[in-house]
Amino acid sequence: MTTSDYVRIDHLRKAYGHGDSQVEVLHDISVGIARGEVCVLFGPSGSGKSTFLNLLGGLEPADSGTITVAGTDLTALSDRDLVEYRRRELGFVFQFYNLVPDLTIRENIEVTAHLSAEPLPVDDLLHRLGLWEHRSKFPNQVSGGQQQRCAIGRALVKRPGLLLCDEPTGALDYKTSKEILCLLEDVNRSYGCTMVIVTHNDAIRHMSHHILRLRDGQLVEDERNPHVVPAAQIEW
Amino acid sequence: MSPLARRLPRELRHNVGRYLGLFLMVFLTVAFIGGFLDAARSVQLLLDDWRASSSREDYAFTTQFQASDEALDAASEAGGGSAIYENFYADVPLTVPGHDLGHEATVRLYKNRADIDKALYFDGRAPQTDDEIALDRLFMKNNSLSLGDVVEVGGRQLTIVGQCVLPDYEALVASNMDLMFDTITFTTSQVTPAAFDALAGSSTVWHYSALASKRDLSPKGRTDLESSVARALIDHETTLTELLDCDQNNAMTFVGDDVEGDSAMYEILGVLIIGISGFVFVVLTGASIEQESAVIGTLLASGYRKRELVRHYMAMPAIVGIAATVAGVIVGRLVVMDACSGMYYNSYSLPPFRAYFSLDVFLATTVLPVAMLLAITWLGIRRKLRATPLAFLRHEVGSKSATASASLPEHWGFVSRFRLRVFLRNASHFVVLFLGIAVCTLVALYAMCFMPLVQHVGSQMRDSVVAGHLYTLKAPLEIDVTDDQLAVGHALDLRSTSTTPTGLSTEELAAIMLFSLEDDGPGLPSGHLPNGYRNSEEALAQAEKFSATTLQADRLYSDSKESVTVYGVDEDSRYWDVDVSDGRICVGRGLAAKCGTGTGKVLQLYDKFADKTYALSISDEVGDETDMGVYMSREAFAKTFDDLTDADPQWFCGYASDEPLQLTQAYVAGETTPDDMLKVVDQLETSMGSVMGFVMLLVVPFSAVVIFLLTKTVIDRSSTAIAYMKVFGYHDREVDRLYIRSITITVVASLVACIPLIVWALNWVFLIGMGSYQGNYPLWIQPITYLETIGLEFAAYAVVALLNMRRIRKVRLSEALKAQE
Repeated sequence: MTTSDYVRIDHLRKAYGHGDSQVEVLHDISVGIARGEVCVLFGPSGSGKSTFLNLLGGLEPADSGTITVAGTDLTALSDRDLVEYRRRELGFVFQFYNLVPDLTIRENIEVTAHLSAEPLPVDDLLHRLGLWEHRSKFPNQVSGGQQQRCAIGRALVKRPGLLLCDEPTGALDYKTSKEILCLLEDVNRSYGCTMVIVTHNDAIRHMSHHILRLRDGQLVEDERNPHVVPAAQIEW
Repeated sequence: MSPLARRLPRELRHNVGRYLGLFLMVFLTVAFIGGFLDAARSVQLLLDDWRASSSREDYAFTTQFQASDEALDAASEAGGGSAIYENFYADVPLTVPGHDLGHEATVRLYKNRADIDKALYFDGRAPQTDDEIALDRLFMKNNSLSLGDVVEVGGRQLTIVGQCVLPDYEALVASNMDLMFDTITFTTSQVTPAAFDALAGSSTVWHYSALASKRDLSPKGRTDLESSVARALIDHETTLTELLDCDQNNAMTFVGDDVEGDSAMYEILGVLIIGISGFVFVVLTGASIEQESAVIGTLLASGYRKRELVRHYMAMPAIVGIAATVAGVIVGRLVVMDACSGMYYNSYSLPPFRAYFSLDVFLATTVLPVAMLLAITWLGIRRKLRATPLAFLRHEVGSKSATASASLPEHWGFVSRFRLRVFLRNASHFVVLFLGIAVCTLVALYAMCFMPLVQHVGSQMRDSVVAGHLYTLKAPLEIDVTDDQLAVGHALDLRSTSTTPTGLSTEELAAIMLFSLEDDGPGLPSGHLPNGYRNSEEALAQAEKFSATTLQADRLYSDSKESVTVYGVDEDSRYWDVDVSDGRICVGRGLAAKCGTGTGKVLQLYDKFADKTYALSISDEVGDETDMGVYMSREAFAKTFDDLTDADPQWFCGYASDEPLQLTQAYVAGETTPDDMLKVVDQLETSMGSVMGFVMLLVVPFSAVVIFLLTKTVIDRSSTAIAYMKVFGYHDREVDRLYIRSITITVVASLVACIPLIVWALNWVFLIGMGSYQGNYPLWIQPITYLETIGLEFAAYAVVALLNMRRIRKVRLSEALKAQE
């Protein structure tokens, strides 16, 4: 952990429930993520991965500890400031895409473009994501891979500093998963945004700069990967 | 018990707002409409009972002078053995010593009745001494009079000892020609026979009431019988001035017609509202089905039958609908019915209220709403559950209509497209919302426009009274007389009002006087009666004679008949602005609209006393939409109605005069001034004000509930998308701008768009609803009323919008993080 970390997490704790039924989901987590890193977070179901992501996204408050992103301590922010933080700094990519079903592919991307003073040009992005031909279709009219591309476009269009990806390939087949991973790699390279990818797919560690592993709410692995492999070359 | 049924209590807890809204919608409708219909039916049954128990007359007639015993015997015989009773009355001014009523008042004096049209006492008793009087309950209430108060009638002080109602005055209609009953300045009363004789004097109206020997005669049978009675009276040289069947007597039919008309209107309103409620049930249950489509798909894939799921999704609407109906019936019967009956008791002179049980009303307010709700909901749910299990599993139910999938121009701004998407996705909700808003706005506009309309019509009617005073006469009475003629007229007046026994009837005296005028004395060339009072030269110069007779015409939108006054006026009249030269006949525009006549058409008018029909070719339409007259020259009048005028072109029966005239009162049938027309306004304001308040009491909360339920569902359906937007960094106010504004635009557009539809519907409501009332009441809505109505509905929506904004704030971010397959 260094002072130049883009993301710094110190002694983070989060529990759900009260009294005897209280379950500590994250226990004293401390970690730092450098700007521009692709950071992958592993862990079995119930290990606290999603909670970690939610806290990082300012979607839930921590019980204790601090989360600092780009110099801003999220735990000290009001709800309103947290909205500003998400608006300015964050992009989300979900396992099941979470596209608005009654908006077209283009409109789904525009939903977040609307939030930014200087969004990426939507038309360029649609071309780059290979969605230009599908821009007027609705999510249920395109494949899962295309939906996930759209979700990535939606996250990317407002030029976020931090991209949080929750199982981005979890609902996709092998070939499409690889395409999405290549796209994420390209996005990281081209736009320089920091990525935190939550996944069960152990192979993704090879394309990541930084590997974290949670088990029962505890951080059991925090390693840098000195031999990053291009996404197109990883197999599973 | 199906395992699915166990989730119903949880479903209720989870969606308590939705089910509370549904409950309120049905509850309010059943309570208000049911309470009203119960009250209306009770009033109808109460009147039926009262009519029987009070020996209410079957018909009545009025003669110009007191009828002889022979004439009455002949009439009774001609009437199949009708029992004919003297029911003389006199209209006398009434004041309250030491208390300013704020208006003139007239009391119609009757002798205590024993055999026919028997009075019913709310409080007190019948007068027993000559200084006692019993007055109408409603008049006493409206003028803050109590038992024991002293009133001055014809210069004599009488103590009020009874508060009564008369069965032949269920509505206080002074004259059958009156447009409206009058409970403020007119009252019926009973006094002792001696007090009546002392007070009535020359004002006595020779009125007779009759009971037919067969009381179950058909209206046609009774009309035939009454024609025979009329002929018998005429054969005995008795001049009839009025013959009224009980079904044609507004004082006795007004309440029944009003209750019937109101009931029909409320029934239609109830069916509309329950129908809308049914669609709201469908929309909301449909939204639940969409939300739970994956579960439904799983259950269907596991072997559940669709009818089991239909039953399951029917359960909550059925429970809520039935519970709301039961609660509505109880509250309607216990609370609302009394309030509704009070509305009738504020307008009419009815016997004490008693609630009746009526099976058809009970069925209409319990079984019908529940059956309608369940049928509509069942059909809607069945339609929603038509999809295949796979479609449910894939969330492919409901939301993907062709319109929702429409492409929108990319050059439109994102916000515009987004709002349109919200609209398209929820189009079916908004259709129901539009219908709900339209029905509520219709009722609200009706309630809001009624009083301004009444005032407008009142002012039009005031303007339609062409002179400051319109005097109608019982016989032609010349006012431009010499001193000698004046003396004869004065003597004639004294004779006609004399109480000195002469051995001759007043009619015989008059005949003698007429004879003397024509042959010996200073007679009038026309053979008309001379006035007994001197009027100024100025008054004489501007007074104008006119002829008039009242006939009947078929109404366009009602089976009943309109009483129509036909005027014969001078061709160069200073009062009537109509061209009646060369035999032209004009009709008022109100009559043209009411009876479907007009320029180039033939108007059929019926004289029920002479059983004669007149066909008048109409040359022109004149006046405004409340003008109900027919106009022709006096010469044409004399020729057309020669039975009445003996074809005498000089015949007349009234004076139009801006100056007040002094006339021999015995020959004055009535006087109309422009301000008399405003009585209609005062009366309607007194009796209908609370009705309109009652209507608003129902419609405003109902609007709010309908809008709330339907817009809440729009928010609920979009909650996941709203959660996404919050996750992406949208502020609540930005989400509001996208969703609430879409809804607001739809609500405002619905409000504005439904107005033409509503005006069209209201026109029909007025044409049909007011079709059986005397006069024409064209729909007239002030622009401000539109704004007020829209404002009121929008205010109801504003409350809902605040609730929806609160709901948007409550959408949790975690909603976006749920795994959605």
